[in-house]
Amino acid sequence: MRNWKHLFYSFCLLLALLALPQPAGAQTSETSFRRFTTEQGMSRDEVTALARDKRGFLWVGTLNGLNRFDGAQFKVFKRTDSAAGLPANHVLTNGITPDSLGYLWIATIRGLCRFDPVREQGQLVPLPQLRDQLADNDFVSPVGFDSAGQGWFASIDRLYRIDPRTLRRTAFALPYVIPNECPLPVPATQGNVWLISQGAIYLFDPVRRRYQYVQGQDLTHPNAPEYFQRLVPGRQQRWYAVAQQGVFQYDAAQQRFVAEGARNFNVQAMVETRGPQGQPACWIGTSGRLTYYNPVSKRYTDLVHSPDDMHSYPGGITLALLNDERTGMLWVGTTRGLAVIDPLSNKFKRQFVRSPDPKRYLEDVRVVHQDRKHDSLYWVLTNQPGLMRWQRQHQQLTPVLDPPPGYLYDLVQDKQGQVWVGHDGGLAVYSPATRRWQQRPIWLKAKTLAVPGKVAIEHLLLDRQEQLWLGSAAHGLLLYDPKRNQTTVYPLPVEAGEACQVHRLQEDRRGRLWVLTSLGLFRLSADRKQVQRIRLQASTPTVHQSDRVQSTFLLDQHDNLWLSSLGLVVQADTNGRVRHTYTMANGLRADYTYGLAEDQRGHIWLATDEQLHELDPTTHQFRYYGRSSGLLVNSMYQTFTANRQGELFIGARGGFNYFQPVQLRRNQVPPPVALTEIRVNNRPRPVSDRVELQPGEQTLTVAFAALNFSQAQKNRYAYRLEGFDSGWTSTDARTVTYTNLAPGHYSLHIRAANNDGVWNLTGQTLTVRVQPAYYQTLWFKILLAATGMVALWGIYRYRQVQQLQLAGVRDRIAKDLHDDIGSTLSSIRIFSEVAQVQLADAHPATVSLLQRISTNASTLAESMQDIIWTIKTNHDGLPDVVTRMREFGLRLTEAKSIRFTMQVTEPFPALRLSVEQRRNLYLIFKESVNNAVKYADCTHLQVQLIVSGRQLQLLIEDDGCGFDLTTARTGNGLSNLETRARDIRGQITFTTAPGAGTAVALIALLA
Amino acid sequence: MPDINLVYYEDNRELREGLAFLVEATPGLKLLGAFGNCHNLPEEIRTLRPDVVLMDIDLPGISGIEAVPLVKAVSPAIQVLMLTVFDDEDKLFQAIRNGASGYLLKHTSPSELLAAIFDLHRGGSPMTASIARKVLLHFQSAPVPATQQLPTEDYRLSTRELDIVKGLVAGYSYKLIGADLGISIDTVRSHIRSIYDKLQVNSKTEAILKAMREKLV
Repeated sequence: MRNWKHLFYSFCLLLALLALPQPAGAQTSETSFRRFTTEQGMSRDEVTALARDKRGFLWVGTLNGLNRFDGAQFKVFKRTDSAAGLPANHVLTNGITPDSLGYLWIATIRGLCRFDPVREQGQLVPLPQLRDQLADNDFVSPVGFDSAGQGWFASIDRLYRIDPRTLRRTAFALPYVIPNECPLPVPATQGNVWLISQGAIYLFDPVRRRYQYVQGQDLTHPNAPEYFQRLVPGRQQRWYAVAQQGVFQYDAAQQRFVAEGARNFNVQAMVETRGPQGQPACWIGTSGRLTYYNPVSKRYTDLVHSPDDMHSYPGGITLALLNDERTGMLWVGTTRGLAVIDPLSNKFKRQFVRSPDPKRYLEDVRVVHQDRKHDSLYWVLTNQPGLMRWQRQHQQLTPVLDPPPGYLYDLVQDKQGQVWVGHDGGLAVYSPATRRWQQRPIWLKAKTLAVPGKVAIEHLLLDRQEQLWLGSAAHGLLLYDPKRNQTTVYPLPVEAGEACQVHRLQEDRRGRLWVLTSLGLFRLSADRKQVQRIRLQASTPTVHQSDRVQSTFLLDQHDNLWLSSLGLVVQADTNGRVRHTYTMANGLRADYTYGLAEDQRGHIWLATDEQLHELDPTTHQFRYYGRSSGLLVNSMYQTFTANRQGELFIGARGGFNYFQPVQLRRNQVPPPVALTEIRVNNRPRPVSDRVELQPGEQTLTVAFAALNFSQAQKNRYAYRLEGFDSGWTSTDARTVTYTNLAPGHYSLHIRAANNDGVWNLTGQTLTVRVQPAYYQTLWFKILLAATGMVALWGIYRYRQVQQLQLAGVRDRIAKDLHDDIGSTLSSIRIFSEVAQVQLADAHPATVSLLQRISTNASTLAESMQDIIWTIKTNHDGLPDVVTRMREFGLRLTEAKSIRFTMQVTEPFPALRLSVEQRRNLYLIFKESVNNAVKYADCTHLQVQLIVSGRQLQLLIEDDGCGFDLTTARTGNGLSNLETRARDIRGQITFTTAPGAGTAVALIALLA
Repeated sequence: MPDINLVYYEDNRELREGLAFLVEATPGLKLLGAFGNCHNLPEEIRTLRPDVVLMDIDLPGISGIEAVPLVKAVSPAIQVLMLTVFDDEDKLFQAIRNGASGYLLKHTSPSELLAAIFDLHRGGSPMTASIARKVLLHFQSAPVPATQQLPTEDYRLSTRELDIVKGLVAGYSYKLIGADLGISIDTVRSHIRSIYDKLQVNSKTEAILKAMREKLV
């Protein structure tokens, strides 16, 4: 009985839900989707499974292929017929499960595969049915992991528990084997496992190997009320089951699944998420829509596809849902592609305004004005269809009928709630109470009006004194008295005859009325009696631009005047003295600024033709927002309106955006950095944390990605190759290439920042080792150096040996001379002397002849002595020469009783002389001394030998009779001496005169 | 005065016969034997018993330097005079340390040669400047024998001897040295003699030391 009632009420509710009229022309666009299809590189649009791996990549399984998504690119994996690939391209629904070891378990139509996402290799889990060579029964259920880390999955005829590391399986029987159906195991608590099989849910105890029927229709309980289609685990030991009656949650006390909210739908996918108050909520994917269920309010919110809105739900059937709790992103896999709800990137809410007449273009929304009394009611002004009411709570836009003809420009609401609208022909006022319009055309009696006619009113302002000020298109500032329906022109100090267009009206906190016109900026005093022209005064020349290009202004809460011009925005005081200038150089990207607004933090918002700017006046930093952040357009031509809660509204073509500036969420999550590809010489290498380059491999390309999926195109990167680069290089590209690195160890560090500039400074590091070619290794270099040194030493030794040989030769010559010649010469002398003695009595004349023989022999012997002496190698030194000189000198002079002195510089330097030098020096000395002893007839012979540095000075002086230089020159003797001197790079000079003694001076440069 | 008995070793035939001729023609000298090599030197010396041995340095087989100790072994009183064409200091120094009493250059005039032989017999010891330098260097660097077995006499040069050696190094003749130091030539000669003795002793000492070391080894 109770059941019937329950069912009846549910049915009624169902009817009621279905009967509710769908609001026309309304679009709920609080949530926006970003979409990815095969156009972005995905293998197929039909997404069946979604998972995230340990590194942060998103894995998308489709009907044809497995994809890895890093925020910008898809990498497709397909079956390759090798054992290390996927067994099939058809990934089953929810068929990708990550385990705690980092693997991905992929259920395909041809079996289960354990996939290593880093090495990009798979391993097939062998099952009995794979061997029967029938392809129709190979499919398995997705794998679920229990608290012990063991995996549970089912094939068509068995339940398996598998160890993810060893792949060891334990098989269990199923309660029922249903042909062509695979049950789905879901790990429960205490080691038990839920099993959902064709409508019924069981609880399996693996220890006792027993199934306990819990709920649902099966063969033994054909009349059970629920036919369960899905079993989905939530967090913290919650389980959800989905049947046609709706969502059920497991109640452990009742030990059954209890219905949650009533709704009839065909649930394909479900995922638990966190609601706004932190309570668990769910996303439910069905055919054609995505539904959000809030269990607290028990409300379902549907997101459906809208063909005009590319940010709406993609459509099709949702088969997979993945909720990323850290970023709050919800990934939706549908049969029409992959989509994501990204609350962090889509910061701006939007509302579309569609004209009821499909033939009309979408018009610009100009003003969104909050009603004076009702916070949730807004008056939206578009050119055409004109004025609309926007019930924000219900997301309803209804046009107000019978608007004034022509273009509508601006609106204000007076204290009575009437809406005044400025249009082409003047004013119109709408009363919400009576729902009726009243036209108030403006006529001017002023002389400036060439033809009395209507004046277009573009701006309206209701000041504190409730006076209605009108800004006209050509006639400047007007004051309108609604009671008397009279318009007066407020005279502005301008040149007469020129049209004066009003751009903007604002009343400041002191009650002064500011008017920006095409002829300048004017300030009316609070009593409106005085008007002053405000000109900008600045020191920099950039500010001196014509008043005519000033587009808009703002007076902020600190009484600063902000004024925009062409490519320029200035902050000035209320007298026009410029404090700050903003141009392209310091961040103003726009040429034209159409709107200026201030938020509660004091940030200045600029609606420009080049994105929405947010300026922090304290730091002078800009932030920019465009379509990628959820704005309808990148170029805005309208100004802002604000509501009492501080939200800003900005109109655009076909709709308007609104946002709460202080609540704009920033992505605070630093993105994980992963390497996506490593290529050496353009050939791919398995991705790991190190790479080794052999000689001949010159090019290294590393591709990387920041795994931030929120506005991934705004991710920024920086890299540095430690050991090569001196600093960090910033880049937007996601690859870096190095060529011809010298051998050694390097570390490539990669950092990334997310779309809101939050950096992950640790990033990823790749160790690069460049192996030296054999000719670059240290061993080779050492070998080369050693060989070089050995070679040099060898050459040196060779030369030494040669020199020794030469010395040996010299010594041998000396020795040979020594023996034979010397001895024989001596014998000549001896014989000759003996003969002299013997012949002395008999033939005295012969004695002199014999003496000559003897003398010749002895001279010869002496010359030979000298030759031998000079070539003897161990007499290289100067001291040896000096010793010999002394001996010679003393010997010669002693016989003739000449006093011989020889002075040598002390301390005596130990110089080495060459053979030439020794010979010549000694011979010069010998000959000079000979000459002195033989011809000079002297008593004192003085020899001085002075060595200073490398210069040698030999001085031979006698006190004899001297000689005449001029006559002596012809003889051989002196020229010989000069030649000898030249041979040793020296100079010899003779100082002599008859009777004045002789001085022979030799100056020579020794080596 | 009895004749001075000479034995002459020289491998050059011309010179050997020429000098033999000269010695024969000189009264006061008697040539007992002239040989071309030292192969039978100990026999010859023992048999002939000369007073002075003229020794050429470069002899085939056993060199003149090596033959000096052999002569001295037969009879230490025999004076050995080295004859050389060229004053190779190292060889001469070695010969002196082996026991030679002096040396002469072959190209010295025959009369000087004969005079030197007489001089040697009388006790003189000819020394040239280059040899003197070597002597000086030797005594400056010679290590003092440390063993107790040797007599305790000083084997270094005395100051007077040092002066003489220095004078010789400077190239002065004996006459000039004597004049410089205020002593007679004979005194100079005897000083030089004792220098030679010290050299020999030193050489002997080193030989003993070497033998001892070898025994130890």
